[in-house]
Amino acid sequence: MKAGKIINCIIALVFAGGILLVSDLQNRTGRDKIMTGFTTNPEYHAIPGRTYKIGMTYFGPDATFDMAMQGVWDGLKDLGFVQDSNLIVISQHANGEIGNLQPIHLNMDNLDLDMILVTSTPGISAAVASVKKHLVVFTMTYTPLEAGAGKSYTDHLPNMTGVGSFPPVEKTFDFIKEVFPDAKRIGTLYNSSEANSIKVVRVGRDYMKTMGLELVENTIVGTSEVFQAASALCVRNIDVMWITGDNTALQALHAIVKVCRDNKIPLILNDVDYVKFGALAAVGVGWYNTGVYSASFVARVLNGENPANIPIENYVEEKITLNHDVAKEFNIKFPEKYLAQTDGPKKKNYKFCLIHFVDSPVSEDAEKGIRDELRNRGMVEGDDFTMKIFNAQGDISILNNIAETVAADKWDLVFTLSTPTIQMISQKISNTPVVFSNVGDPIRAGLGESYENHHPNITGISTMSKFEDLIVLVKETIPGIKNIGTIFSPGEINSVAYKEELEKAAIRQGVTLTAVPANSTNEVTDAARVLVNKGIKAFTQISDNLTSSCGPSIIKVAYDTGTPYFSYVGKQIDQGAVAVVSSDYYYAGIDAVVLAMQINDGVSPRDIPFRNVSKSLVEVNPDAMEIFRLKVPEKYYNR
Amino acid sequence: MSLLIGSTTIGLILALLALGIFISFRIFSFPDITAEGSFTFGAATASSLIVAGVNPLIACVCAFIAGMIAGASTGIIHTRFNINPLLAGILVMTALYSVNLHIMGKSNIPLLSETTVFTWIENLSATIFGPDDKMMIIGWEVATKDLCLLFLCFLGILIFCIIMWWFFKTNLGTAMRATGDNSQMIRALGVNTKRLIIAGIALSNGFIALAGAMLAQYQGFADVQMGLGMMVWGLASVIIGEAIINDNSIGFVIAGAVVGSVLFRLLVAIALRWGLNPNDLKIITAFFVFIALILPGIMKNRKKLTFKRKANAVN
Repeated sequence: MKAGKIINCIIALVFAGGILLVSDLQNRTGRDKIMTGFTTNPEYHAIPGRTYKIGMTYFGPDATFDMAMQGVWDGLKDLGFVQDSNLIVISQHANGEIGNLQPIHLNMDNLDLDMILVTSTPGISAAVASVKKHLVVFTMTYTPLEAGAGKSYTDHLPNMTGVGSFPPVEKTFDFIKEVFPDAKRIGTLYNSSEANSIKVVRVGRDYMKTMGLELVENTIVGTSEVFQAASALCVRNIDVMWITGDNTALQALHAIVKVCRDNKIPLILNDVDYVKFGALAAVGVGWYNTGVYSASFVARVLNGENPANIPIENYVEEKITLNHDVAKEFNIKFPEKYLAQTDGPKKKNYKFCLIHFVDSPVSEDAEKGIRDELRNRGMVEGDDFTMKIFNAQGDISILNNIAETVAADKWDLVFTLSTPTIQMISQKISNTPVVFSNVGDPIRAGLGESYENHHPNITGISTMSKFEDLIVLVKETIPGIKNIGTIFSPGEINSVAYKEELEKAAIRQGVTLTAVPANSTNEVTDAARVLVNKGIKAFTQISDNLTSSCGPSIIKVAYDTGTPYFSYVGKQIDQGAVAVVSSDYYYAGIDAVVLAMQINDGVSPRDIPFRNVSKSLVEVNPDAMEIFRLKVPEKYYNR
Repeated sequence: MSLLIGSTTIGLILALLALGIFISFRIFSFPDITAEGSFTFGAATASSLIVAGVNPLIACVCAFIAGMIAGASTGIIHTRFNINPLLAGILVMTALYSVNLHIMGKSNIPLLSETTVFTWIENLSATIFGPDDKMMIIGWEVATKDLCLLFLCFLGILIFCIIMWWFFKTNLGTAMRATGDNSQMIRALGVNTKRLIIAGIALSNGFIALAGAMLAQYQGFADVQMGLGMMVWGLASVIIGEAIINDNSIGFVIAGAVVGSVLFRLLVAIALRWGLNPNDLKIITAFFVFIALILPGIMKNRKKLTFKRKANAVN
């Protein structure tokens, strides 16, 4: 019987836990990533307590490199090598010029490193020539052997190994033939000192002959020649331009895109990540997965395996990317079979999450601001982004649950709309960017040491009102006023911060502020009466959750006692306030989206300082002026 | 998976709250509303001390003592001045709001950069398994430090439960239970029930304050409004636990309070995970609690029915 009761308990817990796990199924890792199997091999894992230091070289900052590296870091992370934690990476690039590769590899060779990660085929050539003391793993290359890494995949230089990804050249020409059945002459340009391009072009040329196509070639030496070489090709009556993964040509791809556009020549690439810059399509390598695959090589070498014993491997995940915008421009229809199996450079569908702590007008205003600004930026809910809303309804324990729920899911960005929410989220989430709003004083909330120096994944908007502005307005409206009053809510950190700032502003302006606390909605009316009894001549109500919800009851007291009501809450202008100076929460929402878009564009939240809300609104209510027989100076009307 | 682990951890931390509520409501049959105040009281005391540089463990002990003082006040107001228990609780809870604001000096203390008990646990996990160590559990990636946290919370609650179980088996503990069950009888045996009530409510609020102190450290801040609604959730946990365990022996009832608390947090997590309209959250949780309460009864009735049918069949 007793055992039965324990089993009852266990069944209940397991049942609830099971439901939770089932709802969480899609968050199992490895869903999108290739399962290489190496993550389960303990020999590849980082040794706890050890710090690894690797050097990394690349041709120049570009999209392909970013994709491949993202894969490498993600793969390494799975093996316990975490950047900035136990993995220190020193990186250098050649600014897109082959000539710079040699010196940076020489330099790398003289640093104290565990190994060097080399990317691009010319990079390998430079490493072969210059790196003598260190071990090398390479990735993001078409043809490592042609670069000099070895005679074959097993017989290679003893200090080097890595992953090659030879592009699907034949598929590329099949694709061109199918999309442009009338095409005869294919133009290309490449750097004749890049071994990768030479090999690919040779394979391409041979294959074309069998298809009855003719390859028109131009070679370049540096990025500065690209424009001229591309123009020269176009005059030679080519039907289609094909650019393979030539590092030099890709660095100056925008020039090629322009020339092709001007001459109405479609552009086909081998690098899918460049299609969005204006090419028609690409048949190429999914570099992200190549990166993930290469991570195991890095891990093995870091853990002491001799590169001489690790064969070079060829890893290609074929990928076709179509650019429908360009297709429309050229009036081209892709064959059905490609439409089905490809993913165009579609706009990303952002996954946002927004967390309220409690239902209040200020919170709702900010949410409206966020939604409106996203819409203004052409983002359609459902198509371009999804926004999941959470609301703790004022309950801290629920807020804890929400924080766990949010932390367990993957988001592109998280918005929070209150001080407790951002405090809790900052504790739980360290990888996802977070943008807060509706926080009076982010420093006091513990989010950073200053507006510039703060938690690396967090930035946001402080909604501190322009306190002095309203006091000045009140002084000009009611000359000689000495006593003003506000109700504040001691339980809300924003409210207390606002009250203190208002006090300071009042002292600067030479008026006396009387502040009366109220802790719950039913105390607000009494607090308002107390203020009037204390002889205040005008309300200057700060904005917090409590009093913004109970605005009407304060305003009623103000009307009953003939005390003019001014406030910092935008909405209250319609409820009977004479004038408001609102650091508008609606604009706080808009500002939050501005920061969010910077983050989506690739700026790290670490580099975005906290900001004050951009707009403070002055509004005047003529009816209320008449009732209180007041005249707010005209200069405020036009603002 | 990390959601399951996180929710269970919160459930275990709030099990302290459930244990406290269990002592006042179940053992003493004392409807003690002080809980909402003393929960924040514990959080405020611990956070203020931690910010002042006190060892977090000592801060927790102080929070426990602070809660006991609050509880004792309620007990004294009730027993010495013959004030209705509900009213006594309301008085102390209301007063505590101001006390909490004074202790904290403001309405919200961030602990984000302070060393707390949980920072210790994280550091411990980091030294054993390495920083940012991840584990794969049937396909889910889980941070080892979260598992470590869960395990230690479980261990902590287990120790508390054992101590409590042992305590309520002692003479004093038995007298306390008797005070709640039949105060006339135990008074006739020469026990001063007033003292016992004061001690019991003090103990109850000590646990509740400790729950507040732990939650503040876990979530990284203390807020003066954090006690809001806590008593209801604590009571719901206790009742869910009772409904499931359905046994009156002290050990089982204690275990039931813990199970109820964890189960309750899991239910909230499910409601959140399903992504329902946020405005409906509370009605959904209420519905879940309702189901959890009636389900054991239904199952029992069905068992009885089948039993009867079997008996009839035999006849």
